[in-house]
Amino acid sequence: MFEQTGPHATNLLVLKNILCLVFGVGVLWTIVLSGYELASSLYSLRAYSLLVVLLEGVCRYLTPASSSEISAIAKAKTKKHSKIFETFLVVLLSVCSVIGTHVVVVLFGAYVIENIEATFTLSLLVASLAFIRPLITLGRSAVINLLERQNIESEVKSFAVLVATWAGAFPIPLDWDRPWQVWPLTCSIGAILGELGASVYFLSVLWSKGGTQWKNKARCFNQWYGEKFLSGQTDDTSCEPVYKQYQQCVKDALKKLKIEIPKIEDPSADDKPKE
Amino acid sequence: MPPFRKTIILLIDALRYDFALYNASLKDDDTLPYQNKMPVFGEIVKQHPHQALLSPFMADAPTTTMQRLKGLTTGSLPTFIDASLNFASEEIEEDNIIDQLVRHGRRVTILGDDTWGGLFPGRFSRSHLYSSFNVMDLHTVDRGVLSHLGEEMGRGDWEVIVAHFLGVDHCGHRYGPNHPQMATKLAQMNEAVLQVIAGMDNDTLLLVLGDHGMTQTGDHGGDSREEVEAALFVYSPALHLPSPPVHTLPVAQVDLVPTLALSLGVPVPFSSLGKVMEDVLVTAGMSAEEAEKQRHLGLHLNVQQVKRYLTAYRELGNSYPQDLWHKLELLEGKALEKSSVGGQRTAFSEYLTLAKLMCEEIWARFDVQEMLSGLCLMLSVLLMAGLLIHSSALTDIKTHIIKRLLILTVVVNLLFALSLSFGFVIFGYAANVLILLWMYAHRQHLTVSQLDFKAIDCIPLLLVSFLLLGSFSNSFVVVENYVVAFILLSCITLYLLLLMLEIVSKKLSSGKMLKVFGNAFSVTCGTGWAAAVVCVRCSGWFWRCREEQHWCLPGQAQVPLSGLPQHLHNWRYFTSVLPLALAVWLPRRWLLLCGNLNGSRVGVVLARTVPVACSVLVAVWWAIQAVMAAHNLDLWGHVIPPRVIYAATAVHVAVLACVPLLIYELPPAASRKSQPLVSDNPSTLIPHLYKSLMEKYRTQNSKGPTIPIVYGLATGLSASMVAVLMVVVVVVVLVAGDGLSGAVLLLVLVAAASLLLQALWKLKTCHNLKELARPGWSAACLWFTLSIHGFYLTGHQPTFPALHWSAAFVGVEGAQSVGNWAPALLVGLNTYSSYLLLGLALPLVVVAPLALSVVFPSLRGSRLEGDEISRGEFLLVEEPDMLRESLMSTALSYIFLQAAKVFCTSLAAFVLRRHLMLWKIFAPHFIFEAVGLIVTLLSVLAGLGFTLRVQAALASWGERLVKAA
Repeated sequence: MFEQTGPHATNLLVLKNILCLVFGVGVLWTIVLSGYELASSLYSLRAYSLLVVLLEGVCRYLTPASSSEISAIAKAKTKKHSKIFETFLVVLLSVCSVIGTHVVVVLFGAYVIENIEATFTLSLLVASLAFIRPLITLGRSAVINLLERQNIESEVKSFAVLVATWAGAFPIPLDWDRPWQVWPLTCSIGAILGELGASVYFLSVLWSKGGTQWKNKARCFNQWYGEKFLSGQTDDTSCEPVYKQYQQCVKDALKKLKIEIPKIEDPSADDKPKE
Repeated sequence: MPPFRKTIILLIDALRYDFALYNASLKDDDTLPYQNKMPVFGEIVKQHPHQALLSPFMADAPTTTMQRLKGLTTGSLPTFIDASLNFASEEIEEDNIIDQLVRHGRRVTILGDDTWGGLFPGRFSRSHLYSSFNVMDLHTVDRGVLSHLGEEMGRGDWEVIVAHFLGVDHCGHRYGPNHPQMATKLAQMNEAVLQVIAGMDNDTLLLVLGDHGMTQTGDHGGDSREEVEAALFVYSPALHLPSPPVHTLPVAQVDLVPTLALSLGVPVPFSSLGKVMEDVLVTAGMSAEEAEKQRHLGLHLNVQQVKRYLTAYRELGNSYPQDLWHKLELLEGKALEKSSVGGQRTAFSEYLTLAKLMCEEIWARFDVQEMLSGLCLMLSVLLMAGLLIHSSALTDIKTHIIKRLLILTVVVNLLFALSLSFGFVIFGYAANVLILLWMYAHRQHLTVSQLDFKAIDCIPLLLVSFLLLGSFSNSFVVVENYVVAFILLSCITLYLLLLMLEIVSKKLSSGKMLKVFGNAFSVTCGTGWAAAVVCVRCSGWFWRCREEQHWCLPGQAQVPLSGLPQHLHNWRYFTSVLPLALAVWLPRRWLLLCGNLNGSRVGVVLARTVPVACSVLVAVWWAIQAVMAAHNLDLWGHVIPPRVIYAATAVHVAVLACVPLLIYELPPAASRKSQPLVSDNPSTLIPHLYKSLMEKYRTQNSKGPTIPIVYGLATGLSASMVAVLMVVVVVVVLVAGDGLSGAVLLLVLVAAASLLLQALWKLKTCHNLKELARPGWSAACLWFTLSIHGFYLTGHQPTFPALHWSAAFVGVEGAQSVGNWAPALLVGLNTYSSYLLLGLALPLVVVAPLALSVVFPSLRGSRLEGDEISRGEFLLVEEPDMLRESLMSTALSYIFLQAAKVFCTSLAAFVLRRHLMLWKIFAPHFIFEAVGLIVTLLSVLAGLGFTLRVQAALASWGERLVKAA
């Protein structure tokens, strides 16, 4: 995503994840403040699901549709169809994913008729976090892309949300009689915690892979700038190894994140000090 | 001078307290079948408040008739494990009220249940006893009692009459309390009580009592309120009770013995722990002072007797809790000090109550040393099994190790038996040390060769360990049926997910959904998953509610056909027969598809006919039961069909064990002609596949020009197993009852779907036969979870009230003819049907991938060499070592998990032995799991033995064929 306009897309990604964190903490906060009161908690969960989907949609709209995230074949196919058809398909698949999630939740033991509103809210939450978002980012072949592990953000998030929702079922049988043990709050909270954890993990990956090298380079540059450039030496080869390391590291990180980069231009000597 | 000269005891089996209550505010239309049907008690209490008393009569669990009779006559507390003796009525050897009466010249007449005759042989002066064993029979005992009761009361030669009615209990077992038959039965009992009251003398005491209650399904045995709260009605014209209290206080059942003894003027039996109902000792003729004196005397005698017993018990070397014993001595001293009669009486009462409390506590005493030694032994055996599974000892099994292992087993068991019988715990620890030493001595064989845990093994193990840890939490044990279903669903879904990952990773970057998931393999995966998941979810219909699941509504599946309302009969019959038919038809279809039901071998003929015939007979039997429900059953219709089925099953299994081959060789002469015939039927691929196999033989010895064509060789191993399982399934359905035939079908379907998923996973990921034939931990975990799920699916819960006692009477009439082991065996078969079925079917886990790859070649994975694999299970026949090894490792893993469950439940019962819920939740859970492990062990052994037998038969057949060629 961030390979074309580099900092812009990366910033967008970081911003999106931070917003995700804020939303998640916000909805948890609302639920706790309401004293786990079921009706209002369900309302805030539904609002949160919509908000998250909207955020993803806006990010998708802001990111240029270069579709490096979509595999080459999918890209070729996309061109054949009109954009409207693609959008319609994504919406249809999203609705299907909500229904499918609901069916699976019921199969895993939720009541069929009783508490149907609560069950549906949970399905909406899980589907929007784990399926609709990848559908928006990756297009209609999202399931396959997820299984092929082509996009680390969607993969980590979907996986974490699903597992955390599943694990959220475990406290239900305990006879503590706490208000948060009510169906579907444990699973919903699990889902949101999974989402938060995945966001934090993703942010930390972005930071640690890019960050440490960047700091090294900055330190070296400062040194060079202060000690040499200002004293009249314009020879910048002293920072070359660190810069190469930095470059390599960025490449590795992008590769690890499965983000395709068409080409990284060789940096000209002029860019470097200016950065 | 005793207060009463004569006593009549009407023991109405399973007379619950609310059966006897009269609620005037209820209208006739609103009453349930068991409400307000015995107005006699209410009326008498209302008319003669000083002569009559109705109160709850609290039984001690276990609430089985036999245990209750012991408690009611000896006055002692039952011990927990005694419940098992219900089927074996033994003579009472302790001191008891009947012996005391007889010894002091009172003549006792007994009418009714013949259990009394077994408990007290030769004590009764007159008796009219009737067999109690056929619970389907509501009337024989009651009619017998009623026809003789009036006559016996009229005779002068008795001091005590005991009349034991069984109809209410049997009605409960057969129809449950909510049935019109119950109303009729209770009205009949009401009439009987009225008649007795009309015929009573003035100095006669009448006691009407229930020995226990019943649950909403009509069963009893446990300790729920409905089961322990029986009714007690006391009436005599001579009685003078103090004015009735606002709330009737419950009376403990042990209190009957001292009351009865003192009111008739005989000594209280030695081991009685009850407290006399002192008010019953007061007759109308006494003055207030005399009455007070009488009460005091009664209590004093009672205290002396209890003290004598406690002292004697102490002198035998038993100890009491210090504080309680001290308190008792203090109380006794206080009672003697007190000058006022009233003060002494209070002290006596307190003494008796405390003594009973103390005994209740020490009777449930724990021998921590023995428990620890047992737990250690289990742990070390588990460790050894775990090492064996992963060690090199399995890959090349050496006979001398097996021999030493057997010797070790024998020695360890002997040591443990010694420690049990002589009470030397040290032997238990010695056995433990011995095992560890053995393991150390054989460490080079037990070294773990390769530990390659993949995600498919680790995650199910993690899930199962959740399940095992749940044994330590009472809330998880209470809802274990939900937890197990959840874990099972998770395991199945994990298979699907990993399979999907596998499929996608093999078809890299082909973005289209249909291309990736449109092939036969993916569709089969999806279908298998969906079928399994839906079946698991539907199992909720058949779950039984345990007492603690207050939200749970009992389903209709637990009610037998005859207990349902009339308009549901046809529907129920249809929904029972259809699953039964499917459960037989589906495996039969499979065998036909594999070509294993051709020809005229003995085994083939049996496999074609016996399961079908048995299932038809089961359906006929259900119909007979339903049609004849209104009448008293004919012996033939009731007993003969199940017995025929048992016999046919035994013959079927025995014959298949002798001649297990389910294959068909086309006669060589006809082979050429029949070749086009074979290609006419594309579904029988086996001959074609086998042809390639025989090609090899032909090239080896080229002189044989004819190619033998054999049907069903590629599934030769599993086919015999399936044929045996088919008929076992029918027997299980028969014993489970008509309501649960759907549950058994669901169990079979989930097992089949699990086998399918497991086989698909193996076919997708394995590179060679060795990997293919080794199912690993994932399959063991799946199978283990499934076996526990099956336990709940077939309507069971690990509590004693939830046992299906009705299964004891399937094909058994009367206790005398068959002994007591047959009913016990049938109840065991009913309870552990899933452990039995899955244990027997365990070898299928090993052979399923091979069978599947032959019957559906399109599912064969690309990684496997196509030519070899087409020979199917015959590959394993030719590699007996590999077969033995993989069977052994699978069985060990499965048993390991089951034993780990037992270990966890027993550890939970040990650690939480002071927990409030020990007797309700943890202890029964442990007992059920422990018996389940024994069933598992036996059935797995039988399954393995049978498979090896089939393998040997197939191998020798193959040799003969090669020689002939």
